[in-house]
Amino acid sequence: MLGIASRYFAGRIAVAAAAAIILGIVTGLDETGHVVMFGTIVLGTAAAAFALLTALALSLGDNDSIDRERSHSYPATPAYWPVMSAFGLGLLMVGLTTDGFIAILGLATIITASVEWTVSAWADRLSKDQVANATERDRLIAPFEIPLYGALSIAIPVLLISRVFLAASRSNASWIALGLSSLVLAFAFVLYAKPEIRRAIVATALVAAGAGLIVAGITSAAIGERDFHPHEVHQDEDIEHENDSEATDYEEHSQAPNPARIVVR
Amino acid sequence: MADNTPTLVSGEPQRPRAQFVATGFAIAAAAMMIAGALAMYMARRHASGIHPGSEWLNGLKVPNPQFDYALLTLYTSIVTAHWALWASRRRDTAHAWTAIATTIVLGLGFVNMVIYSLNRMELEIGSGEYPNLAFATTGLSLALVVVGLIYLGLMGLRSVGGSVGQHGSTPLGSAVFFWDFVAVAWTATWYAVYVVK
Repeated sequence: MLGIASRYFAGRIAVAAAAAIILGIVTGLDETGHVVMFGTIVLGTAAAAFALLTALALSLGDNDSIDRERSHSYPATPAYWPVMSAFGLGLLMVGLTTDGFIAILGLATIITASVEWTVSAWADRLSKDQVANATERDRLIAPFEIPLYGALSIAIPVLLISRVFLAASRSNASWIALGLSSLVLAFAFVLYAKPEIRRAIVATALVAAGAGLIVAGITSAAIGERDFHPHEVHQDEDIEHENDSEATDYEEHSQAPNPARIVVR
Repeated sequence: MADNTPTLVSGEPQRPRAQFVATGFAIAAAAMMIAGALAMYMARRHASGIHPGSEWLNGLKVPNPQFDYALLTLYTSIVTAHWALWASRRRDTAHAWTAIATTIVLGLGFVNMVIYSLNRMELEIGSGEYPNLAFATTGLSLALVVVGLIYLGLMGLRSVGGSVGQHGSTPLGSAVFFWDFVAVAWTATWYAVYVVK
């Protein structure tokens, strides 16, 4: 006997196929003999798609779907991978409209989250012992995770902060650097002075700082770098500039046009 | 008096091949996307003139050999994908991995060949209705190919983690199922856009 799913999809096939045929015949009866391509093709494909789903339902039995003994119930470990995937998708979207590098970063995040999610889902179903599952998961993925996240935890903040520095003017970049360094120092001092501070507060502060850094980095990348102009090279025979790399240096437009000369005696 | 109160069945729903069924639904949804894109293409082509196949190409030449070889490459990758599934079901991990890697390499080769062919055609977005629709439909099919490659790669990772055997190969089987659909979707796109034009 056919199950509920098989009967449902079989009905859908009949409706879609009948609609495609009727539309094709009716629109083909006019003087040009041309059928309405769009509707006919879409309805015909819908019938084919429902046929695929019917075949799937039939091949899988389409029977009782209740696990009375709860033999397939596995406790799942909470994971951040869906959040990470969503974040990667957001990065990709922002990157596609602003900066290609951010788009690549978003794509890399999605791929990484997908791999992590897959391995976690696989490990969750190994047994009903979550600790053993976590050990097995780490055995497989930790050799990749540790170097990858170690490198990323250095590279991403450096990259984001560099975007902020490049977008701000030269003097503002200095102030921002000073402010950030002071904040890090103050935070470290508070942690040292008040070791009993709740971990949740520390975690919240770190997450807020990370989110702020990401927003600032992406916004700065969208704004773009400030204008740089090549430095004019002064070739005075009396002045020795062999060790200077000013010829390849760049400085801001706002700087004084005639920098002070340093005469080496 | 007999108690006729219905008793509810307890327990978690049993979904032994949930991923396979979910892949089937994804394929149905993607098939409708492709159908919509190709139907739009055919409808616009049909409305372009008395001789639509030649008129709206506007002098563009389709490099048939390159597209044919790309299609052959994709079909070859279907064989290697099924080889991977066959080996995985028999717990032959060495063959399964070789076949998965070969499939991914062939898939990447296919993408490369299609992009090369598009460059050779010198299609330019915005230069006409055919280039726009050809880019849109080809791009959609290529996106499905990329999704299929990622899916195969991820399920390949699961197989290296020990998800093999008759039941353990369901994830890989789902990916191969999607890959089969990708080949069908590309064949339809290729036939409509580059053969019928």
